[in-house]
Amino acid sequence: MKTVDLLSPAAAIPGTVVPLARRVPTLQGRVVGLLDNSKSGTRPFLDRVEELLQREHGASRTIRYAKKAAALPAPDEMLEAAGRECDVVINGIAD
Amino acid sequence: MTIVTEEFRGLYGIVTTSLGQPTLPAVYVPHPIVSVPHPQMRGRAEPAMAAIVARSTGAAEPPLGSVPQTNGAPGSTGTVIERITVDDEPEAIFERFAAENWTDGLPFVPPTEERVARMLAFSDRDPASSLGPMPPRWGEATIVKLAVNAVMAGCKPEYFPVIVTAVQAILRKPFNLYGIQGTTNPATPVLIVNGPIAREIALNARGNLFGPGFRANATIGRAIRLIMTTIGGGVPQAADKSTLGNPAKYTCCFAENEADSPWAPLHVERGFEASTSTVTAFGGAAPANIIEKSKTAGDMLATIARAMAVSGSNNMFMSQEALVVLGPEHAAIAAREDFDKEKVRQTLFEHARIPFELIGRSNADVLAVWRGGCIDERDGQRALRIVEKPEDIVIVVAGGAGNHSASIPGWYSRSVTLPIVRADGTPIRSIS
Repeated sequence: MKTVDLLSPAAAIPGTVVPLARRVPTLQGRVVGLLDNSKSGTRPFLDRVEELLQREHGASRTIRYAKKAAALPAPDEMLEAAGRECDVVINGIAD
Repeated sequence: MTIVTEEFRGLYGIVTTSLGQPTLPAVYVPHPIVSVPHPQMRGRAEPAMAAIVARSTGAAEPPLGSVPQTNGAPGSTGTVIERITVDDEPEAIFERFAAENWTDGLPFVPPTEERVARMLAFSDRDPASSLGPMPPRWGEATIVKLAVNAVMAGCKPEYFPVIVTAVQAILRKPFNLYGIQGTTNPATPVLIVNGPIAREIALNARGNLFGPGFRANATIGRAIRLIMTTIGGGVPQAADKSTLGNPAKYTCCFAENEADSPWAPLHVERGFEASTSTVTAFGGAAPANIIEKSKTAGDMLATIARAMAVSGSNNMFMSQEALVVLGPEHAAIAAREDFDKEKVRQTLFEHARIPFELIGRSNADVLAVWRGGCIDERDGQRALRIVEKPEDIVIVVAGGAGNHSASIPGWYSRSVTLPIVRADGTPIRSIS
């Protein structure tokens, strides 16, 4: 069978590795951020997560952040604030 | 730490792979969340708590270090594939590329080195240079990769400057390509070409505008979709989470019918010289046809506005801009009553309102948050405007004979118009 050499249409992805945030050993006494993607259903879910984090897992404080709309990226200022203000930030991908 | 519904596992994997953290665990919860009653959503928190706490904490350092570059299906690992040797049979070539998710499902032109070189001859950029990483996979949109995709789509080499410019446009931040690639919405890039190059490459601006029969329209839009798939990683069902999709996701590219328009074309409105050629990328849904046989501008524009303001369309929920494609006969009716484009825009804006009684209670609650700037009280009636201000209505004259126009509802995206230029930024006046 005759063969043909073709070029690939797919591109390389950048080889960079984005470092992860250092994990805290426990949530006791920690500030936990909750980023709401603004989909209907996220708020009641995160309300309950927030209650449980404080009541059963010792989080000292929780801070809520909400995107203006689910399909828009979280503004850089919001992400920077969350990084500054919290020990742990929880976000979500869902519809 | 990320919580992901089961349905979005694929997209999450593409994102973590692009960050160099392909094994980063998430907490998975059942899909969906939007249609689930709120008390039930509260109840889903408790079973997820153990995993949420575990992923949020940990004495062990997260995995760091280099990962191999990947070039196949999203989420796959391995070395970069640059060349493939395949049996020289159309079916074998198709199957090989389909296995890598490198197709839109239609047959394509095999991208040989010679064909790609002919495409590259129509760009003066370094083939290895990149227009930027493309979401959600963040593949580098290098000129040579654009050329490979353009060959596959069936483009003539002289279309290539339009493709390069279209990719630059969709990569601009206001266009929100990341959102368009991953959303459940059918939104897709709608490409509008203005200026002399549109005529030189025979891009259809007249009859059957959104239909088949014109190579430039069919293949330029198709090249952009292939690029979004193979470079951006927007593979349907894995990363492209569109519930229904839309036929315009195969291709949607047309020229403004500048010759039959009574007004300045889109690119001139946006500050470019008429002799400069431009590409406008608009993120929108499928075209919805509007048949309208009124003989006065006021009646005609009121109908068109009502057809743009449909309950349940993107124009109700989220359009940052709304595109209307006016057929030349409709434009002529407006022009003969001395309506200029601004008056047309203002008239459409005034009439394109959706009364809240047609919206539904729970939608109204959502829209009060999402669309606060569009709520309009008038004559005791509370209604939703389709956009915040008249300038957010984008008007293009295109199509052939007949009493038809089209509404293309927008999305969380702002249209971007860029000139077709050389690498040094000077406009390309002519393809030849």
